[in-house]
Amino acid sequence: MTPGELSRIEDTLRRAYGDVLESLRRDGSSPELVTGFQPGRPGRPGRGFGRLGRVGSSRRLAPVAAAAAVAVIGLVAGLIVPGALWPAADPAMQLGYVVTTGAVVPVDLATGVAQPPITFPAQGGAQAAAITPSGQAIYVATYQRYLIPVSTVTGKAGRPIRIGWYATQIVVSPDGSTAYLLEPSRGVAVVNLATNTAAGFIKMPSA
Amino acid sequence: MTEAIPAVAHESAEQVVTELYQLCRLGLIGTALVLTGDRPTAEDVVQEAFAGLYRAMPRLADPDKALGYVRASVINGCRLVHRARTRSLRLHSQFRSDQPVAWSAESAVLAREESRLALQAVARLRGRAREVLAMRYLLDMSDSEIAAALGVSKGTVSSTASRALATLARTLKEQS
Repeated sequence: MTPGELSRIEDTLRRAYGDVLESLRRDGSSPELVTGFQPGRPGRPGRGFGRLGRVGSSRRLAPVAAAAAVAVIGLVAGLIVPGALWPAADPAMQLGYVVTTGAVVPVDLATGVAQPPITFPAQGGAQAAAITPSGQAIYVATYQRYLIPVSTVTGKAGRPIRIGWYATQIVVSPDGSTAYLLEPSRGVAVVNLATNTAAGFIKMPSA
Repeated sequence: MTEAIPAVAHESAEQVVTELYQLCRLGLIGTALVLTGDRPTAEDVVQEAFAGLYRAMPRLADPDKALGYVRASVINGCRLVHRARTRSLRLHSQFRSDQPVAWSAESAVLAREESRLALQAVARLRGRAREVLAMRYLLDMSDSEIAAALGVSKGTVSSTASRALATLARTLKEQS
């Protein structure tokens, strides 16, 4: 490529990228910066814990709407947790939980107030989550192929369990002893929750 | 685009992150938009990068490195998006012929047809090439800064950019 051609293609590229920035400037709306956690109150959304979010955006809440526990969480008038990925509730229906990229946010279902979040190492972001039938723990699968136990009793995240399996769904057995992590292209990883160790894999027959 | 980093001596991590965000958001969202092809995803990637910076601030020995940290996070975030998309396409291989392009006319309303064609051509380049071009010509980063952000040598950055520009020139010439 001659210097002239190089200069022309560089100019074209700069103009194209400049047009992209111009289109963003024209559009104007930039996400609001939200850092630090502010619990919600009835009629006033919770905000933050380090995410930048358009507070009130429904885009991230779409998975919540699709889930069974939405009936519970939805009763909490005005509570919106930015970055919400999965809803859950304890069996007594006193506390609801919203799992986000890097935290579990307990929600008092009677008052609609979000409690301080239980943070866990995000490890590239949470990919799936499930609550045990007893409601005492929530298991979160991360992008980096770990399963993180989060105790709703102590309010702390436990040591991540290395799975090596990219889970898109988690199911906990009714007795709370085993978790099953689905990776659609490979199969199911079985995790012993008594010992917090990977117990085996069920391979899917190749399609 | 060499933004001045906010002074950190008397500011909280939250203030530093906020000011950095105000300074850099447009360029970083633009970069993520070019690399992922859609604005909501681009905004999410940038949001995650700044959230990561906020969490990392107490550990950052040199707060002046915050900009480098967040730039590298944006590039990594875009890679994760691509990996997730590729995995999804592999799962649904019957849709492979209909896979979404990384850049479309709907990604942003561009004033110039020339720009649209150029970005479509960029979208067909390999991932590393797209990253290098965006960092060099959109974020105005030096080759040394790009090398540090990508964890490669300066020579690799230079040769990648050179090959990418040659490919782009050839593609655009064929189209015209």
